[in-house]
Amino acid sequence: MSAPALRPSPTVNLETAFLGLRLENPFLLSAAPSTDDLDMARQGLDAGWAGVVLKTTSVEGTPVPLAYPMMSAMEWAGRRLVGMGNIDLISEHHIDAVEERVRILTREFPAKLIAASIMGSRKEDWQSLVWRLRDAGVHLIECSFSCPQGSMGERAGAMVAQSASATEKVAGWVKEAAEHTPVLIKITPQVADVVEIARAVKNGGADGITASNSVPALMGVDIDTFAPIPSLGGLGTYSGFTGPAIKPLTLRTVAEIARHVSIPISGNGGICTWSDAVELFAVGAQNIQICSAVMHHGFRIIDDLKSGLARYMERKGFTSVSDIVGKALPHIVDHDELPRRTLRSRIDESACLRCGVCFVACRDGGHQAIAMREDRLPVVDDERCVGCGLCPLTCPAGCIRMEIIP
Amino acid sequence: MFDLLSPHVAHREAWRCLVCWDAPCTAACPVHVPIPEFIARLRSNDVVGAEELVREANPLISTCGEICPDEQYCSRACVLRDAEGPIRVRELHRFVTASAHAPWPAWAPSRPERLAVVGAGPAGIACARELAALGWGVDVYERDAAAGGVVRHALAVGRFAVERLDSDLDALRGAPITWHMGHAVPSLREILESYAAVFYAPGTHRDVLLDLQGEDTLMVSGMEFLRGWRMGQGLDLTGKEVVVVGGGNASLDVALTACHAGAARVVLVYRRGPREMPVWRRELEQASSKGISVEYYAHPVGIIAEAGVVRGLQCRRTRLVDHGGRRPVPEDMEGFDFILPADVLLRAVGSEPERDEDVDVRWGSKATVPVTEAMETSRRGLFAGGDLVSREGTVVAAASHGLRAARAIHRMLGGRS
Ligand SMILES: Cc1cc2nc3c(=O)[nH]c(=O)nc-3n(C[C@H](O)[C@H](O)[C@H](O)COP(=O)(O)OP(=O)(O)OC[C@H]3O[C@@H](n4cnc5c(N)ncnc54)[C@H](O)[C@@H]3O)c2cc1C
Ligand SMILES: Cc1cc2nc3c(=O)[nH]c(=O)nc-3n(C[C@H](O)[C@H](O)[C@H](O)COP(=O)(O)O)c2cc1C
Ligand code: SF4
Repeated sequence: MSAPALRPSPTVNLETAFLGLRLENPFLLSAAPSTDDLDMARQGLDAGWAGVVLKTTSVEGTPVPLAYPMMSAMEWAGRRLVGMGNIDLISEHHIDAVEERVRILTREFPAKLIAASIMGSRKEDWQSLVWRLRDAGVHLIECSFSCPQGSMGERAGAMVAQSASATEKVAGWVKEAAEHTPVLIKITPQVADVVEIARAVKNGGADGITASNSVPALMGVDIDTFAPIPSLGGLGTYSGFTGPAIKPLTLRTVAEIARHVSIPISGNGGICTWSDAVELFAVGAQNIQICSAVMHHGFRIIDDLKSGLARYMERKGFTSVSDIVGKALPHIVDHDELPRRTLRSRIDESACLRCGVCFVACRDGGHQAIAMREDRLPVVDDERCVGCGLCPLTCPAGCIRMEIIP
Repeated sequence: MFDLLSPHVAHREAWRCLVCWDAPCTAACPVHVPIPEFIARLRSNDVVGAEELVREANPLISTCGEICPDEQYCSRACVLRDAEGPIRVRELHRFVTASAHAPWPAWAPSRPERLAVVGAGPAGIACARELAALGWGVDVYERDAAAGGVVRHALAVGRFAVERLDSDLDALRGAPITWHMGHAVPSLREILESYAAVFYAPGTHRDVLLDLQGEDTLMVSGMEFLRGWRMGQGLDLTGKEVVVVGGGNASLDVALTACHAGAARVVLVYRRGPREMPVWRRELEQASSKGISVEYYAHPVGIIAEAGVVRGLQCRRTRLVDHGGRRPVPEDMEGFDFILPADVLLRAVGSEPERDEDVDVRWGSKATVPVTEAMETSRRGLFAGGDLVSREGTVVAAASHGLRAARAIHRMLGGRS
């Protein structure tokens, strides 16, 4: 029982719909360790998540040869988990276990969205997975076409979603079996043209796209032993890169799809806070799936996600999440359509810490337009400043802005 | 003593540094430790490289990592001081020196002629290191059995781990330095005849007296008291009421050590007010956390004793009068006397140098030896540093004198740097 709030929380309704399904809020737990255990899924739902995508499952007998350790991190500037790496595979629990969990969860949590993720290789596998989940009463089926360790698709080590033709074909198999159950295809950002893949998903008949899965990456090299990170007895492989560091990639991937293909998108990859989520809605995602932030900070982040989003919507006068969806898209143009303007850097002396970080940045990476005065205050030379906008980014006090010169 | 930063916290702290283009912290440090540079090495996890830089700049860096009053130097100059608190530079020194030990790159083969250093306190140690690094053989003469001066013998027990000093001395192993320990130099005259240049850093080791009747038998010298505890044969004060007369940092060390020695109550008597007290905040906080109280505006005027046994200290209230000088002057208020009961009286109002009357060196006012920018005295070839020449009274200042003198001596003798 929570204590009565002193100030009533925002009254905005976070309820939203996706592929004809009702979501009590737009935040889902994505297919990952947090949804690979019945009790954990229950705890996540109890904590307030609108739904779960159970970790990717496969037909009985599919080998899942896990290797440990599987996790690694991108550390930067003293921050431990700027990005997360994993060499996990799909769930060790096969469809027999997962269909049972679907039955239990749909019964125990009638108001939540219970989805399951699948991966197969042959048509029969994909389709039998779908049939069994449908029988179990699953609300939505997500297909992993994008496991960075390679799908059991065509070529070993390749992902289905790296080939438009394979994507269209497999999406077609799945949709054929799913009939009225909505199907999402989870794609990889690691393609030359994500729009082509999105079109293939649509042509295959799937209902929507999850954009996108982890980014294939090499997390590091141990410079003493030259083993990749994570090192398993001196050997290593490429990881799936997730978490805060990949948000800009996700934003672009979702924006590209939304700008060119008319297909519902579930946004995923690098979202940690409600404002990250708003950004992803704004480029076209209708709801958000989260994995790394939960693996780092726990199910409890749902609290801030919901209240922050509600407060934001109240402030902006939005009555539904769908009001935000795509709001940024009209503002995204090609480079040649950008306005050409004259800008100059302006420094607020009263807030300046006099550290000279802007001075060094401009001197060695800009246009040598900032000089340091005797009293350690930076001054901009308008003749040299081209308005590139580097200095405000480096200012620790946030006291530099770019002024438009008429 | 302070907790050592964990590697992760040290790394985070290093990343908090803004790396100002002109390093005001470095400018504020007497030995100009290249702070942004060593912090850059910490950021990239080159801890050995970081140690190399700080040790090169400051031969007493392990010591300073623990007791440097950074609040008056680097931290004070940090641009983040008021915004979010200064970078904990001193603690980062401590971290690098505790985690890494860069071996000194092979000592240059030394020239045949040798130079002399008198006094192996921080000033003498720094000078000897720098002369050796510049390729000179060095004879160090020290009255005590071990090097370190005040740092080894006078810091409050519990405030400084002498291993930090030993680790600074360890770093000098293999240097062309001969340590003549237990060798008091009675007169500089002889030494000046046998060496082309001498660095003189004897510190200040004679107690300043209070001019109270019976002081010589009824008061204990604070410095002797500290030394006793540092040498493991300290005066036991169990259950005693102790009054310390002082006001500076050294008197806080005395008071802290009195607590350590078992005193039931420790009161510090100071002539001026809290704002005038020339102490480091950190040390004062430590003292008050130990329950030491300060009797401000009090001037000792007499010792109360019965049959040679101390009973208390008679004090007179003072008030501060502004005569337009640098600091207001405390003046006695006649008729406002009071007695602080005490079993033991400790004197810690400062110390002054013992004058070597045998050498025709010019003395300045305030019992210091005036020196040039290059640390040379009025007598050619005689350089001096440390507490003897300045009232700054810090290890890092003493070290800076030693380094500066060594470089000047090297130049004087025609050496190239
Ligand atoms: C109680 C106390 C606490 C302090 N706390 C701090 C602190 O926290 N941080 C800080 O930075 N500074 C502190 N200081 C100050 C610092 O210790 C001194 O400024 C510094 O030690 C001065 O160094 P020095 O080399 O000039 O002299 P000293 O350290 O006094 O060393 C002089 C050496 O010369 C030797 N000597 C003297 N005469 C002769 C002779 N004729 N022949 C041979 N050898 C001789 C002495 O035995 C001694 O070893 C403190 C000082 C005191 C007294
Ligand atoms: C350890 C780990 C295991 C994962 N397993 C799966 C999986 O089995 N199936 C899947 O579709 N995605 C899997 N993912 C990807 C996540 O569901 C999600 O798409 C990705 O982490 C990006 O979102 P994030 O930045 O919020 O973490 C996994 C991620 C991690 C970190
Ligand atoms: S030696 Fe002292 S003043 Fe210099 S940088 Fe280190 S802590 Fe700061």
